[in-house]
Amino acid sequence: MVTIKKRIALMLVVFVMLAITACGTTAPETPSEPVSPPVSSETEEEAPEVLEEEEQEVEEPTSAEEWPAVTIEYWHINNDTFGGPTIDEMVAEFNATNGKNITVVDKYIPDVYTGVAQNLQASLAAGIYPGVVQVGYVYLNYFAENFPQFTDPKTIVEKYAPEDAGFLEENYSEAVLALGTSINGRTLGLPYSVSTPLMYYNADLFREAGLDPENPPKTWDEVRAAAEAIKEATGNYGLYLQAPTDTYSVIPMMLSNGLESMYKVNDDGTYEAAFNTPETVEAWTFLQKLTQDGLNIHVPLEEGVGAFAGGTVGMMITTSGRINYLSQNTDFDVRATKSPSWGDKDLKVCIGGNLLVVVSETDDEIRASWEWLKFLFKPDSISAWVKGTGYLPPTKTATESTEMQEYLSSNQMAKVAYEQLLENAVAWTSWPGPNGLQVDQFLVDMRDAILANNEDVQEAVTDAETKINNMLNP
Amino acid sequence: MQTNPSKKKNKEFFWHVLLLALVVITFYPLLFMFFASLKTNNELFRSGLNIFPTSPTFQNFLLVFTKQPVLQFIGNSLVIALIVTFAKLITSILTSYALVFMNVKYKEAIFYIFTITMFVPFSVIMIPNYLTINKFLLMDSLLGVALPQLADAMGIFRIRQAMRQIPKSLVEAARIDKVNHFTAMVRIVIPLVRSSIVAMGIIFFINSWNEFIWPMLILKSREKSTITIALQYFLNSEGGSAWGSSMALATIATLVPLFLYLISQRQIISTFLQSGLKE
Amino acid sequence: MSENFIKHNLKIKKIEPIIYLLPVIIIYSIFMFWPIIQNIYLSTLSWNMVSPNKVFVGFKNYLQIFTDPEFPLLLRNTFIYVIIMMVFNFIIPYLIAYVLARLIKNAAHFYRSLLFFPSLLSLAVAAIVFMWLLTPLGGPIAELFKSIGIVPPNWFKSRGYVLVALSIITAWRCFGFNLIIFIGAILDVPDELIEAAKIEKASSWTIFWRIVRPLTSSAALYVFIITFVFGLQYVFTPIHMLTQGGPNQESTNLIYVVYQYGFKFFQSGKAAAVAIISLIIFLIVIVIQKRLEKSVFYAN
Repeated sequence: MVTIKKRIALMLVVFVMLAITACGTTAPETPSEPVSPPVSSETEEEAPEVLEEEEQEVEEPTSAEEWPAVTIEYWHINNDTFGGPTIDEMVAEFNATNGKNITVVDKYIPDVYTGVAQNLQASLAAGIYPGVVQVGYVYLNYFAENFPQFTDPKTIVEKYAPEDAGFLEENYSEAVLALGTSINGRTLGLPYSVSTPLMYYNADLFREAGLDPENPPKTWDEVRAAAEAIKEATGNYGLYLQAPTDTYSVIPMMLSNGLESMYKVNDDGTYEAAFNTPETVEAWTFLQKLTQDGLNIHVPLEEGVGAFAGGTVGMMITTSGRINYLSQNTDFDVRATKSPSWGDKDLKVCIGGNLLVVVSETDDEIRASWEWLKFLFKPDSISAWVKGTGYLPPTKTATESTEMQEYLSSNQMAKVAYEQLLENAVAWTSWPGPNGLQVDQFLVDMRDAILANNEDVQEAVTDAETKINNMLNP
Repeated sequence: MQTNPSKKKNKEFFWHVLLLALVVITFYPLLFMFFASLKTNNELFRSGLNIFPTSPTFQNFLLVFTKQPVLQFIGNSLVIALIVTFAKLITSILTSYALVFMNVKYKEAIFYIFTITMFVPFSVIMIPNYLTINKFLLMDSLLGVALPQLADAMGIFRIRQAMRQIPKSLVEAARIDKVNHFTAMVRIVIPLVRSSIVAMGIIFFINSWNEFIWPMLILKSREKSTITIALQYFLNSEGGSAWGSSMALATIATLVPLFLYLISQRQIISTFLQSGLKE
Repeated sequence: MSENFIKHNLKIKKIEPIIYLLPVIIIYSIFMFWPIIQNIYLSTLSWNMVSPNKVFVGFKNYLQIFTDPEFPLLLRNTFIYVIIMMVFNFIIPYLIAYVLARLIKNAAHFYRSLLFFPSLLSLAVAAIVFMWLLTPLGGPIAELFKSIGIVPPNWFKSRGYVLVALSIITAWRCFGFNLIIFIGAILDVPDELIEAAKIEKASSWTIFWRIVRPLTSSAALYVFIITFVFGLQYVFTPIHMLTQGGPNQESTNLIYVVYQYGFKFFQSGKAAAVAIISLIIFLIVIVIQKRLEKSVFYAN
């Protein structure tokens, strides 16, 4: 009977596998090590990270083969409908032309920035350093506080690339650079993807409802009127205010209604939530009513975006990063305008996107990461990136290039997004302390309590404030 | 008294109607999924109650196959499922045999300890196993997914149950003839419980194929994904929305269990019919 | 020579069973028993799984959980999930199994083969299919509601409805399996008893309640326990894919919240503590149920 032998063989295979995995590793005892970049740990490394140490370089090699071979990973959140192909192209080009024997392997991380944080945590716990990682702005402080294993740009330039000394100043305006600077003043990485929330609208539906597509709504009252018109004339929903599990479209609501900042620092150093104001309650009450009256639909992100793209929702407020996707996947006249403001108060929107952080261990890897970063920040790389996604150019040098100037002036939606960036954008609040992630979640919960569960607005806001204060000062 | 036969017929008719309705309700989501995969995105949001596509298109499937490494997903699912299935079968057989045909002290206690593990919620062992797999440097690897799943309490339970149907005298007679336990197990017992083994094997395979939580925690890169967790990629919040393509992927993911069911449904069902819960 | 031989043989005899049991012992030790202990230890720490600082905090995590206003919500949600799943995965399959096993003459195989099929599908598939099935933005269920004049509910973003929707997804998938278990048990009830009752003009319901139910009580106990224990774990997948516990934690339960604390907020100590609490609750429920069943059975 063949089966006996098969069974035995399989048994052996299983036992051998068990034996290998149980005994054959030299993993550290505790799941993590207090490793800071220059000190190498004694863990095994995964296949892609082939590394050959070199003795002191006396002079720089001149041909590619003389450089030590280094492989780093580039962790990103861009799937195929959102910049993935552009990344593939850039990686291929860099690998072929960098002349320093560097190979970049791009790695798509599902679950957006939360996924990156989780992956990074697992990776670092096993002592493995990826290379260059996209970190969402909202994770800025959390990252700074919980992942000490990165190398910041200033250190990189000082230690490894003194010839690039002016890189940060030349490329960044102070405002944008601040996006990558954490609450304790440290610049974590280079702000790369930049987006602001736009209000996209279906010009065809507008016309059907007797609205003028050349004059889209500018204030929330006007949005309400437009939504009512669309509903009456066409039966479709007027607005989809995006509802993902982040606060990208939550915080601007409050900041635009006269709020200076979401939290403040007291004299004794404790933090306190500062958003429980009558204006905040007023804003959310308006939005609640909009939803209750069937003018705004509060559904999960995929459904709302899909419905808008399918032509059954009049307006949609979501990231400018969807420009490219919407221009290619809709069969109607799609346009964009700035997010609505509260009457004549100053509109404030949050800057979304990510910064690129170097999480590498050895000198060679850090150098390689820096080379990759420089490549990504070349003006034509940034152009490709902007056009392939809908993100906005982060650096002065890229913005001023003729290609970008043309793009920003000719693409209606990109133009609006850029204007909004210049005129109305502020940093997306990144909470201090070790519980930043949960604080953000409380705000998302508050939004859902108000818009999905129809709870009393003041109660919901106060509730969120209490919970957040507990988390801010553990 | 005289309407009894027709009353009975009416009653039966009623039950049949009810059962058919139940079947329709149960299968509607699957039909919906299949036909939706043949519609364009625009049509999906506007088709209302009409389940059938007006002009069926395969573009969603095309999109899925070209944009996602579907074959790789299937391959990964397959590898994990095969490792887990064989391991579970082997360990269940060995354990059951020992508990039924050998002299083991505290047999009952051991059996209870093994099977009580069925009722430990996954949330209790989730984080420690995650840390352990991390420690073994098996994060983002198929082996890391398979390793904690090499034994199965339900498998032990059922195969032991099947083995108990075999008279111990058979094995004892063989042993008197100087046949050792291993040979007895392989030559006598296993063939006699073959149908249970096959049925459990299929169940293990299908369950592994459909697993979500543990692979989701361990597998991080797209190349290592299984087809079940790949469905998440269509819920990515920074990308576009993909009703049609997600239905296409869902349809593809359903094909394997469907196929296995079509060829072995009788065995699977009969294994569970003999629940034999009278211990 | 022969003494050693006998001793040697006896030794083998003693060790042999252990060798057969060893694989499962090893696997369970590493991946089941040790983790439980590890989890208890974890629950006494404040640790984010990455940093080298593991702070021992004793019972603080437990205290925090019990005093958190979210805790009653967790219990309530868990309870509601269980109730709804009991209806769809315990009561209804029980009754339908009775119909299939005893009340119809033909086509039973046909029905049960079909009804069993969804139990072989993944919950991820079920989740994504039902998401689009139920979407108020053009899904068929919504259209159905509209056509009879009701505003379609926003299932996954409405308190209460979300629990129902998620339970239905899980129930749809588990129904067939439980059905088969019940059918098997009901078929095992001796025909003579049922025939005897029929002769005495007992109604179908009486037969079910007085004869079938007591004699299938062990199967019922099994299904009850797996609906409770597995149901709460199965619903993890749809929760994760569709609501991530929201809106405003209205769909999270004692199992899912462990994932939230552990992998979303990286508060592994708290996560472990909730896991231990839920383990204890599970054990208590199972023990109570077993005692109840025993008394019911003996009473009959």
